[in-house]
Amino acid sequence: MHIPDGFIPYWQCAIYYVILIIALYFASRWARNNLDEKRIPLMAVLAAGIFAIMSMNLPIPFGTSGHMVGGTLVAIVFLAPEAAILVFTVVLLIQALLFGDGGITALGANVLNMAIIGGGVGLLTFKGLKNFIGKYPAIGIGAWLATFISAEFCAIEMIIAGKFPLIIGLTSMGILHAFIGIIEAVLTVIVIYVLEKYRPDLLAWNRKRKSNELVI
Amino acid sequence: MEKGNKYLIIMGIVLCIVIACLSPFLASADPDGLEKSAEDSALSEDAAVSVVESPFPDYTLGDSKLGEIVALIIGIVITITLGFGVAYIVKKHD
Repeated sequence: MHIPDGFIPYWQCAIYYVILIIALYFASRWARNNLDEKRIPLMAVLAAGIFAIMSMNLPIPFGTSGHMVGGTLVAIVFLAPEAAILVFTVVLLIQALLFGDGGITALGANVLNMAIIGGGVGLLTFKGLKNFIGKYPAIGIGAWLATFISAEFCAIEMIIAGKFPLIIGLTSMGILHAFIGIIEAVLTVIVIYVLEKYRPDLLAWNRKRKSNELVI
Repeated sequence: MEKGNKYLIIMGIVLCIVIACLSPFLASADPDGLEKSAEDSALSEDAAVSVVESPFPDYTLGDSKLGEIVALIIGIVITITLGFGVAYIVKKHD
């Protein structure tokens, strides 16, 4: 889902950069209030893990491949899409400058899709469903929906850029990412399950519960 | 740093390096979702350009599998370092 340079006209890239700057303002404000020193290593390790897993493209139907993105993972671990914005700005900047994966001019659009939309949709879906279907199914559906919706946002950006036709763009991105979303769902559930098993203290949902109990 | 976080970092880096070693052999070379949609949209392959010249284009270093592994490991080290740096700058100040 990494948009390269050249797909989006520069004036539109500028708009996405403005969104990125506003997002980074809110993300740093979140960090100043919530990111304690104990969870810094987790954030750094998640960034490296996301960088690594993005190299592991798995085959899906139609001679296509896809990899985990991780926006939902970061947003649920910290219960904040702001955390995903920080992590993805770092990862996507490195990928754009050093590895030619995703354009530097498209950085704003790529953070918008993968972190703001991806993290936001994943977290909201999780929060909305967890009390009805349980934590892990809610994570899986959140991760799948995050992949699907962010792909459609990416398609819309490409349509606005005049690169994809409306129907073909939405259909093609939608169908392919419906499959890629399965990869995202399975891996997101596994990583959060492992963290819950070995380092439950790092997951924001365990901290929230504790502070609520104190309040009650 | 507390012991649990040292363990987290070590396990995290080990897992990333395992992925880096497997990826060049296992990862699918098929176009990804966006590339395939660009094909479906009959978008010319020349549409994608590079504004900056990256030192490791497409995660390669030379044209060997070993080079790909090295490029990925360099990326992992830079990402975790910058991740620490950014998180440390924006962290909660008591």
